[in-house]
Amino acid sequence: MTMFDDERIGELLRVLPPAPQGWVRAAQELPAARSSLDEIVARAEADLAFRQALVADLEAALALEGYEPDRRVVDELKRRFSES
Amino acid sequence: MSQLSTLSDAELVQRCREGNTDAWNELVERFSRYVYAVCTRGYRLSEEDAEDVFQEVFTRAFTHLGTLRNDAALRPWIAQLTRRLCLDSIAKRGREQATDEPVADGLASDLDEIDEAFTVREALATLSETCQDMLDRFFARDQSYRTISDELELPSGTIASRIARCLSKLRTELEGRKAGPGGSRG
Amino acid sequence: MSTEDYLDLRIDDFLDRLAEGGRAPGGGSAAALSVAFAAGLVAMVARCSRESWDDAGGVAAQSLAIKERAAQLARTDAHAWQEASAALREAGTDGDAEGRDRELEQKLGRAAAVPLEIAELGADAAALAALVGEYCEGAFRADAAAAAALASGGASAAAHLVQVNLSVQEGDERLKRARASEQAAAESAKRTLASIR
Repeated sequence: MTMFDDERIGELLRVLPPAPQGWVRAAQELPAARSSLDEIVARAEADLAFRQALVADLEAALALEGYEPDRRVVDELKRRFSES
Repeated sequence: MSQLSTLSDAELVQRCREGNTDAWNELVERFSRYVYAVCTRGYRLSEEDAEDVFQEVFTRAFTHLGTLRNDAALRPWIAQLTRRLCLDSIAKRGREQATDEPVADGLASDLDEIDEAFTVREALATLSETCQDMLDRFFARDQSYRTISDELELPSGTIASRIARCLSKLRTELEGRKAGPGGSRG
Repeated sequence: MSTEDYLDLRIDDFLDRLAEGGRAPGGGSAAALSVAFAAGLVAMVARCSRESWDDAGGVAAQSLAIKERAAQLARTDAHAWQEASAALREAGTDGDAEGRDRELEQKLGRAAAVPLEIAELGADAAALAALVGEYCEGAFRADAAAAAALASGGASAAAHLVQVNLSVQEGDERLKRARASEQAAAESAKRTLASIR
């Protein structure tokens, strides 16, 4: 590690401003999003009617069942159910 | 200063694997600035592309934490992942061929500087909460002395001197890391 | 010439651009550069006082940060001013009046936010100049005083630009902050200048 003086430390502190708060929050919500995804997938595997509804119109089916998943979950579900 | 912020990277990974959501929040917080800087300052991605890469880095980190071979190597792992995804993003935009070569003049030195800056931030986390706050607010968040004074309820005429002293403490901490082993959290 | 590159000009070329009629750079950029000059002087004085003053390094670091931010604001102000001017010109034309009004308000707001930031930086630069003037080597006290005067001038000019911005009314929080910064900078400058008389 090179020797730092106060000026260089000040410069380096400026190199890392905070990331946008919304981005950080979204990343922190990943575990909850994953949990939501797992729940929906498990249900679709167990409930044929629900699975068919998801394939026919994913977002409408989710809304009807009271789910409000975030965008990443919707995108992942679309990917999974369009491949099935 | 939360207890989690004092954990090493390896300890943090372990807690995340155990399903501790606070540990995950701390991991994101710890690396969010670094990932953001690599995307925007290093690879100069647009805000939109940077956001996509940012989310993808943490999605993959979350998904693959269980398969990390060396928990203490979290930082280089995230670094490499971020760089690769930035290059993929650039290739997708069709601007340049995706290679390991720098895509812009000074990229290598920009990335080195970002790494150096991360080391400074690790050292910053060992200072008092007030010092951390003051240095972050002034240097990284561009806040004025008046705003810092109002937010931290400190006399405005003392802010500049306090920042100077906190910098001195940070320098001492960094010198200590250079001089001896075991200073880094990584 | 784009606003991105006029700060790469030689000083005399930049001054020629400043003197040209009716376009950026204008008063906001000049105010920002005044603050940047002040911060540069403070850094110089602090660096020259390292032997005798423990906080010199930390003060130099802060003044360099202010210098960098002020220089960036010189660019940002020109851009904000150009956008607001263009929006004002379009305000009276036919088409989506409501949409244009919203855009105008947004751009005028931005054109007030930048000089407000310049005023606050000026207050900070003046405070640092006062601090460095108190502890620096005697030979540099006049430079510290010059820095304080420049910072105060920049803060005052920027505060005036906030005031004349069409979107800022009396009682507006932005105006209060700008005036507070102007006053704080003036007090720092007065203290510093008095100490060397």
